[in-house]
Amino acid sequence: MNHYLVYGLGGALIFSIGVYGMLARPHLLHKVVAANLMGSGVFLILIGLGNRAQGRPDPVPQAMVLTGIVVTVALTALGLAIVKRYYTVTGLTTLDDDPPEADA
Amino acid sequence: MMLVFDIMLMAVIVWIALGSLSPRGVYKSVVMFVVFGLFMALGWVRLGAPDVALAEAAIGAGVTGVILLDAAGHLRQRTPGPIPERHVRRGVAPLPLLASVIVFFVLALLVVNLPAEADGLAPLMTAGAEDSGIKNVVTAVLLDFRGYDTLLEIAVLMLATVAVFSLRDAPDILGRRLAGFAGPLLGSFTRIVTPFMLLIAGHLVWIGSSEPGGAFQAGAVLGAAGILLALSGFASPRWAGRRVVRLSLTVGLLVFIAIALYPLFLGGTLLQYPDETRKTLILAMETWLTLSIGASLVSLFIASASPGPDGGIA
Amino acid sequence: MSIAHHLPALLVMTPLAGASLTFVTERRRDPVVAVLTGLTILGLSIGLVVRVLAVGPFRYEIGGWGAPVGIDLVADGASALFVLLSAVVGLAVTVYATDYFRGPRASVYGHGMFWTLWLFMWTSLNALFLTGDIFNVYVCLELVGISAVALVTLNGGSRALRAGARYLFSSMLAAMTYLLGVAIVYSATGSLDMAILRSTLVPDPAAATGLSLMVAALLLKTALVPAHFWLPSAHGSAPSPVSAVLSALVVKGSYYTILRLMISVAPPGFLPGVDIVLGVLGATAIIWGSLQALVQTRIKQLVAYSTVAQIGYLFIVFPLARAGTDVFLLALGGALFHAITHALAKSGFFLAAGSLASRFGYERIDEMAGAARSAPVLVMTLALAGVTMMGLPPSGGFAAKWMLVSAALSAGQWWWALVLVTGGLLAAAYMFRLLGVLLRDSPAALNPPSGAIRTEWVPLSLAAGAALLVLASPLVTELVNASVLVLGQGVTP
Repeated sequence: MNHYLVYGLGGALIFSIGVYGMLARPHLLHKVVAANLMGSGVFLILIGLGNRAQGRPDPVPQAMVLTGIVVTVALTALGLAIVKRYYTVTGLTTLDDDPPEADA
Repeated sequence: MMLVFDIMLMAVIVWIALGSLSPRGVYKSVVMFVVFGLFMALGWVRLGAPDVALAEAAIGAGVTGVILLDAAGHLRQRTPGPIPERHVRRGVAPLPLLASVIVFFVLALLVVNLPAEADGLAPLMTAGAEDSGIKNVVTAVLLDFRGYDTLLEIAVLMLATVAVFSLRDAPDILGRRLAGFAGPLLGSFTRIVTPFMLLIAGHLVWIGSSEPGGAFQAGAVLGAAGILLALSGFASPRWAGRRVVRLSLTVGLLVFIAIALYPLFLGGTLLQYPDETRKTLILAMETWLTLSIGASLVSLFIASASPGPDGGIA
Repeated sequence: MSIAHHLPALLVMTPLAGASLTFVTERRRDPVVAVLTGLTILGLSIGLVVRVLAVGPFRYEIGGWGAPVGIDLVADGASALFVLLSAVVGLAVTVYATDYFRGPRASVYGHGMFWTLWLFMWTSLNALFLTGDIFNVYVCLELVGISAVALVTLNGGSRALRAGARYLFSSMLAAMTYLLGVAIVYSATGSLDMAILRSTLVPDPAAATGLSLMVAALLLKTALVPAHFWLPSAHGSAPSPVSAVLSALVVKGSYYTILRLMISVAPPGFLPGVDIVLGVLGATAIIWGSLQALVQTRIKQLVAYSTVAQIGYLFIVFPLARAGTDVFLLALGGALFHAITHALAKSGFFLAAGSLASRFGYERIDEMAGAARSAPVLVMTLALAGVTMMGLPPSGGFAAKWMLVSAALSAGQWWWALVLVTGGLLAAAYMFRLLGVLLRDSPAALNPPSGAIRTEWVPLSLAAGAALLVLASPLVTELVNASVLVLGQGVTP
């Protein structure tokens, strides 16, 4: 067993855990964390499998992951800002509850 | 021997990932997620990706962790005590579990069946980096070969900052005191640490072309310093008005656009740096990018952070 | 190199520079910067169309490296068509918005960010239409997604925030799934460039799974039934100029990428069965979306469900794509024609519905009786857009449906034709229901118009353009023929 397999399979597992959280956890903060887990899972697969290159690891997946990390933090910050604002306006932390009074 | 370490590390990471979705309260989740980021950084080092490790520690665990903690605190303000039962849904939901198990098996099957050796684009990139004189191949990919991705990525960061600003109902984001952890200990810690962080940021930009580092890592350190200052109750100086904030957020992107367009006047294409000035241009760009990335990360935090008990205006 | 060769790059950099500028200049100058940026983009887009017609599809090597080392932009008939479409709709919406965000709305703090967010969105749409690199698509998709979510929540009300949050989480799910697909495709093939992938892809479960994941993620972004759950609330609760852009352009961005992946990247038979599934989902969307539109009580919700239905038409092209070259060309022409027509008609419709709602002060259809007498231009706009969506001649909607129906019949797959015709009848039903109320002869107490005639004439021009689009069909056909989608192999680097 090669070490890239450990990280590749680990990445697959973490992505799946993220999928579960995204679908099954109603609390919006859990969903944000779950999305981040999905991202980390993909990053592990990318760089893990990039380690199959002879000599130095493939730099392209590393560059993609660096881009991915920055994009994910941007997305997370926006997500949290919306979640907080949603909570301030409605007092809710999930999207499953009855909708608040329409404010047409 | 190393394989045993890899397997153990991965097992710990997976265990923490499970813990970060624990229904026993979001605070615990968030703390677990920060720990998750730190262990991931360890994994990146093992995978020969020190640039990614630096970014993960500073951005993935650091900045993401701080904004998650702040959000968890904010969401507890009005509902003290444990979260209502219906929001945590203990036990396992069967359909999502089935979906996630299928996803795992499909992915695992694919990963296992891929050829054990594949060079991808590594040889081409390494050769290209030698030609261009940038020793750190990852930096060469980020800022040269695939510089266009990075240009759009800076746009993503700035866009997200603007988006977070748009969610506020008042324009003042500076001069606000946060509901931080202001106390004598944090204050003096910040005073000692901030100058060092500025030095580290400068160092990371400077060495980025030959060693692990670069604008993103440096910007993250700069951002972390700013967040620390904000948390320990330093109100921003008077000269840092709306204009200065917006300019520091935008300057990186503006310089990047200018440098991207400059080769068009020399007969090249977008981002085709001339060979003789390549390193200078990249360094100049990285310096301004560092400033804007740092400013973005601080703004992403402050603009949505919970205000202090005095209403937040210092 | 002539300036014309740089058009693809300039089409991305212009709105990007505009977006940055609106963030640092004084707020009252923002509309001016935006309109000037829009005019420049329109000029550049026309230039791109002319260029593609003159020299055919061409690649633009960013950084001079060329794929696979660098990222290449690909300008062809289809991308030029979509860039021009965004320019026309974008400029119209920009002009409309200069009025929309005045007056009381201007005092809402978040609204001040509209211009920057909108120009970022324009940047990302152009970038998405022009890119030839599957990872670059990911970055573009995130730009589209973040700007779209932020624009939806601009009002800051609980309904908008709820819609925005739902939109955001489905965007996140889609983005991560897309990136997973890219990771697998890259790990299996070692390339990210679409044309290189096309020429190197061999039947391989890993690459096929990766590509399918990417397509699935894009379906969620395009809101094809059953992944449409986020769309009606997002499109229905956003400010009207935003709804117009979301329905007209944003869903087309991810659809265009699906076209590229399914037709110009995947070799024939590479993804067996997926084309049929897409066709069936499209047919379901047409029927289900139209039925939902029939029972909506708020005018913008009705338009949003109509979008769900109209998206369906775009997917009938996939099962027809492998039924011979003639059928494929006809079906592709029909789909692209439909995309353009729908963009013009729906943006006009949303803007007019928005103007109408703000004249009434509410959105409930039942209470809008008598609108025709007090706001004839707006109601005429709705009627014209309605004619297009029903597919009556001489509208572009008629031409599009005609092409799709003929393609289905010549392929011997009459069932698609049946769905297309049923969709037209259902569209007529929900449009007549709306127009019936608006044309009712009863006195309506409307707020006076804002004074800016652009709130009426901009939507009318868009709807009229859609209704007369048949006239442009030779140009569209020529551009379709000059596209990578048709040329198959694409422009190899």
